[in-house]
Amino acid sequence: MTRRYLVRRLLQVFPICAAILLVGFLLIHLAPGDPVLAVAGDSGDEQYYAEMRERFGLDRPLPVQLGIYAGKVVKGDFGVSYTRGRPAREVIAERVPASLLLATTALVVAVVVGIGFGVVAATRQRGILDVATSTVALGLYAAPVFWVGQLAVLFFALRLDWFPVQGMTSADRSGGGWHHILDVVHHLALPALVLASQEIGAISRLARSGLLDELGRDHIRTARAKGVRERSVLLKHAMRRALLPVVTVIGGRVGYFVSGAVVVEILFAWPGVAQLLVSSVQSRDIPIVLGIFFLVSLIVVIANLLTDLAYVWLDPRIRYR
Amino acid sequence: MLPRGVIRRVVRRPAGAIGLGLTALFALTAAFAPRLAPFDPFSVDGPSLGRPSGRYPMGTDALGRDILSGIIHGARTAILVTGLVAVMVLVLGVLVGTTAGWLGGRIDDVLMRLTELFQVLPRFFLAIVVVALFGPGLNRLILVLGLTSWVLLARVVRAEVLSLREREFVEAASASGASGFRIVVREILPNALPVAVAYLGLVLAQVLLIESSLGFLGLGDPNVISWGAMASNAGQFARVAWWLPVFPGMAVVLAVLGLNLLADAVTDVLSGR
Amino acid sequence: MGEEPLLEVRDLSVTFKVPGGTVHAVNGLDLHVSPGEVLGVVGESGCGKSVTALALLGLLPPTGRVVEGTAWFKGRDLFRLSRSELRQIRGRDISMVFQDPLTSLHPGMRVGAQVAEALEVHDSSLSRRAAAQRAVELLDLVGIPDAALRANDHPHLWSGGMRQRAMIAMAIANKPALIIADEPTTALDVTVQAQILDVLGDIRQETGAALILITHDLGVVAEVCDRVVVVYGGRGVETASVHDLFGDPRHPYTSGLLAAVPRIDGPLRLHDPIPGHPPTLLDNPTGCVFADRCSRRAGRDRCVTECPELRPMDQPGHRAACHFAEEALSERR
Repeated sequence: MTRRYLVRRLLQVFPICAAILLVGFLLIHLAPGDPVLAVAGDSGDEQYYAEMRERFGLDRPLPVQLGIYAGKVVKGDFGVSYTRGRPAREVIAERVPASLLLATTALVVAVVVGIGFGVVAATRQRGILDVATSTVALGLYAAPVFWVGQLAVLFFALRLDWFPVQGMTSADRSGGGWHHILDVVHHLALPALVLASQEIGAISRLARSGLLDELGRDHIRTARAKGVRERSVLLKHAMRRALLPVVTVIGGRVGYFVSGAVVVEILFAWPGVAQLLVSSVQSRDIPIVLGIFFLVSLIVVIANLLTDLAYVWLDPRIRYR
Repeated sequence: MLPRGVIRRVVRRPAGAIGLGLTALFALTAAFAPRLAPFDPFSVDGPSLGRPSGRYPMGTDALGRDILSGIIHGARTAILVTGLVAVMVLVLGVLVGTTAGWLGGRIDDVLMRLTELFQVLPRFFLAIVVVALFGPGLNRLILVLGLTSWVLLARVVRAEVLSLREREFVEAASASGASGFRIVVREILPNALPVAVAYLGLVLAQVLLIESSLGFLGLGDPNVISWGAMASNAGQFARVAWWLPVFPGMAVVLAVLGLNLLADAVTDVLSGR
Repeated sequence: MGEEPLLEVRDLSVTFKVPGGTVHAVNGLDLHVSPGEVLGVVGESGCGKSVTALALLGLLPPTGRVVEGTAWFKGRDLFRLSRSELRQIRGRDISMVFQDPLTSLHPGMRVGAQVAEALEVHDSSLSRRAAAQRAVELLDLVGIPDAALRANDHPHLWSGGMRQRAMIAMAIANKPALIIADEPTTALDVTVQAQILDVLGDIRQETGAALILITHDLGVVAEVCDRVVVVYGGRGVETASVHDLFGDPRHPYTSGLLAAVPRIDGPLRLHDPIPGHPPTLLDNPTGCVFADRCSRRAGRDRCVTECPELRPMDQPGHRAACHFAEEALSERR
């Protein structure tokens, strides 16, 4: 039964991916100017354009073009970056590791700190800590990530001088190995915290309400009546289902999270995908912009899939529906 | 669009009162910007990077422009974007939601698939793609955000219509031979709309965050003053002029907070909490 | 009652904070239970029965508080124990069976694991496998067919009756000296109720545990209990052996409850509940808590000016809290 659900859920991914492809394709053709510019840039010569037209079938009827374009994108061929003269995929791929490092660090921090805040708030209901964490969470939820970042830079980097203002490594590369890793961690800390902050707000709010909901349930009373330790009541009995809304919110906010990552990377001059994205928009290097758009869409789709699977794992009753 | 009693009960809650106050402040500032602003926001007559003072309460930027006047005029851009997106979102969301909920069956299935698509579509990046392809501009930004932000509303309205459809007064209306369209317009919409309006606040808060973030990335309309763009100008001067990054972002926070608090309070009141 | 009581509760008072005041849920309740005895605690819903049970094990919700009283159990006062001391008593010396088996089990954990957990928390030397094995034996003991197989199910696959059996298996896992069952059959079908009562009875005989059975159903009391405490408005209004209570109730509330039970030997008639509702307990009345519903009061002032104490009746161990307990009850049926 679980398997049937899995298969059905996996199959839902394809029409959505197809639709996103269609959106990208339509935008190219709606945009002013020759669509060849979208896959080859606007500084090539006629012969090069002819070549690209041939390659993307741009002189064929629209449905055929769509087919060809879809086939290429599926293989990761978004066209050639004219500013760099290389396939867009290569250019993007070079930037992914730095972005991935920042994003995963921030996500881990957000989940750990967010749930921690939620637990503190829920177990000391209406206490000072509860009110404090709830207020901070509400503020972080409303604050644009660039502002949180700017304030963090003002205070922690400029005033206190605890962290570097920008970049991923220091200019001097004297030490190798451990020295290098520590240097990266030092540069990573502030942007990761800032990126995490917007998620911490959302996660802690839901962790708190989820936990309070769960702690009031009969089965929690049963666990306590059995003599289960309070810590275990919280972590083993209450947490599991309290995490359901948290999982949903993390899954549902992947789009915001990635958008936030772009802002944070720009703010801290982090050498990730965002720098590439913004400079490509400014120079109208469309293959790169569309390539990043498809990449992000894929991440969001996969994140949604994983959210649903996590849900099934956390609440076994869903399997049998 | 909201019954009177609801507004009164919203204002009685602290969160609701603060939310309504901030949202009203936001709207009024935009409405009376030219009268409120002490200076022309583009005028470069002030001192370069002037500290906050009696004359310039929020200081001046590198070109000598008054920050406070910029923020007051920036409210116009923000309200223009959120207001027009609100209209589109409300129309699309209510249209899709009622159609799906009222007609049901195949049409409901198709519309819900469509909602799933728009739910995963990364709006921020779609907006960036549009800027890359069509160039920056408020009109296309509003169009993209309006066309892609209606999902939450459609779902909420659909759920509301589904539950209303079963209620007696609708059954009574259809038993007395009222046409489907008439029932939707006269009986369903007045009941579904308040819920939609409540969630609209949350959607607009997100829209405002997206708009200001794009401005911060330098991808906004270069011809208007926006809080995001003002924040991005602060970049290289943060070391010497703390007021540059602090105030524009604060304006965004207050507006977003107001919309969120108001939406939460209205939702709570409507659901009887 | 020559025996030393296993549990002796004296003068228990519990309050709840609610918007707009304090609810006095339990007001100076006394009760005791001897080893191996079955004590019925009877009353309408909202009279403080369940609150008493939860208070004993420190399981009151955050708004509830024990403001007075002692509960001596094996030489220790349960209300003066630290959290961790009390935790060690829960499920090991005193265990509980709750009213609603549908919500009392964790929906995300396998039933076997939930029973095994009751063992593991009190015996750290027990291996996971041994605990699982013992859990299956316990489930078998309470009458779950194919226990070894069904132990791997999640609770939603089990019927209400089976889940209540699982709750009982959990409750007896550590051979407690006392089991508190709070309306254990109320949420179940009539046919299943009898089965669950049988299981409880069998188990009790096998383990020799004392049982406090909290119920509103005097039929159940007659079937299972040795002795009864009738609770009204958070106070004990009458206590007696089952024989004396059914044969010669002295408190008008008790006789009202008895009248509400359909009787096989009497003429068939519909339930005949006591008119009115239990008090809300927002303020503590000065007189008898039952005064405004009482059929015996007949306008006498003493009932509203003076709170009656529980005092001894003719039979040993029979006590009633009524100023006029010796008067014949007008409404004996």
